[in-house]
Amino acid sequence: MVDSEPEAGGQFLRGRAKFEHRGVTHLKNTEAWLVEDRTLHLRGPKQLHFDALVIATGAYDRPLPFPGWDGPGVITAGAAQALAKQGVTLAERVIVAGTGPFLLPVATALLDLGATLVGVYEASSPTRWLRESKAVLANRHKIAELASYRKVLSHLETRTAVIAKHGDRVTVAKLDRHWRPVSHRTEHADLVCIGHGFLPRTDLVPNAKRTNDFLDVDERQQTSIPGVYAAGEVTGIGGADLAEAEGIIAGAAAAHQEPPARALEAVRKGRLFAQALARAHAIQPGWQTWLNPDTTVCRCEKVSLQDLSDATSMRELKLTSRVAMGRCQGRICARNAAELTGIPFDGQRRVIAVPIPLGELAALPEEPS
Amino acid sequence: MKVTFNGLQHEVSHVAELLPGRFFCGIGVCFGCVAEINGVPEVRACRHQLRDGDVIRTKP
Repeated sequence: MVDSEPEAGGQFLRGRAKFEHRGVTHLKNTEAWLVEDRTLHLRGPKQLHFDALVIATGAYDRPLPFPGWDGPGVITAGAAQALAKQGVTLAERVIVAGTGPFLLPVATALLDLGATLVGVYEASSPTRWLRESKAVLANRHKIAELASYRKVLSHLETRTAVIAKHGDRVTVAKLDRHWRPVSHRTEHADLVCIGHGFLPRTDLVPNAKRTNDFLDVDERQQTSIPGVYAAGEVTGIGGADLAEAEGIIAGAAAAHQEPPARALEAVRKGRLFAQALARAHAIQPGWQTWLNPDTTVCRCEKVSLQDLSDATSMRELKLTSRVAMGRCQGRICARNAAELTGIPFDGQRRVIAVPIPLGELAALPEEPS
Repeated sequence: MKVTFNGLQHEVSHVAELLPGRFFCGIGVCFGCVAEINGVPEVRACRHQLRDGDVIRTKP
C-alpha cells in the first residue's frame, strides 16, 4: 500500500484510520510518479512490479477565479477542512463559498473551532435537486447526513457567490441560473474558503479513458487499462461510503475474487447519487463574468485573463501565455483557462505525476537497449 | 511551535500562518507553499509536519 500521507486514512480520515494487516506493507509518505506497463515508479527511487494496481488518488477542490482569489485570505474549502482536522483555523470571520454539499461539513468544522461564520454561499439552485428524486430515494441516508450540518444551514444562501475580495471586503453576489451576478453586496471576512466542485487526480494513468475528467471503470472497477483498477473520488464524486464500496470491489477484483453483492449494490445506488450531484452542482458558464481583465487565472506564473492569447489548443495556449506552465503544471488553472478561452480541455495529461529531482531519474536502473 | 522563517523567529501553530496568499489547496496539489525546509529544497510546506526548531525559507 503506497501512501502519500504519513499515516493511513488519506484526506478524509487524516491519520485517524487504524490500519494494520499482516501481509500488507504500508509505505508511508511515499509518492508514486509513473505507471509504466506493470511497474509503478515511486519516489526514492524505487519500483514495484504488479499484476494488478488499484488507484485511489482521490480528488481536489476546483477553485474558480475572481478578483482577489490569489491574495491572502483565500484558501480552498479542502484546505480549510484539512486545517480544521488539525485543530487550526486561520481567521476569525470566515466565508465558505462554491458549490456542492462538501461546503457544509467545512463550514461546520470551522464553526466548531469557534470561527464566526459570515455565510455559506452555494452558487447552484436547490431546486435542481427536485429533478433527482430517483437518486435521492436510493440514498436516503444522505438526507440524514444533512441534518448533522443543521448548525450551518441557517447561514446557507443559495444562488449566491463570492465574486471579489479586496482586503477584508468581500463582494457577495446573487446569481441567475447561469451564475451571472444580478445584484451584489459587501460582507466583511478575513478568510474565504472556496470549492467549486472537484478535479480528480488521474495523473498516474494519463491514457486511461475518462468522462468529464473522471476515470471510466467497468463493474469490477477496472479502468480501460487492463490490470489497473480505480476506486473512490478519482472515478467520480459520491462521498466516502461510495468510495469505500468501490474500494472493496476493486480489491476483490484485483485479487481475482467475486466482489461482495452488498458492495455492488452500494456502488449502484451511490453512482445514482454521484450522477445527480454532478448534474445539480454543475459549473455554469456565468462564472467567467466574475473576472476582470487583470484577474489572475494561473497563480504559479501570474497569468491574468488578458494575457490568455488566441490559441487553438491547450499546448499552443500554454506556449504563448505560460498558463499552466508553473509548478502546479495546470492542476489549479488549466481547466479554468480552457473554459475561459473556449479551447477544448484535453484532460490532465502529465507524464510525471509528481515532481522528482533529476538525481532520482539518473539513479534509475538502465534499460536494456 | 517555535520556528525560523526567512531568518526571523516565529511562534505558530501551523505552517499555513507563515504563508498567507501562498498556502492555498492544503493537500500538496497547488504548489503555492513550496519552501526550503531544514535545508531540503522544493518542499510543499502543507505536507510537512511542523516541529520546534524548523528552519523555513521562501527567499534566498
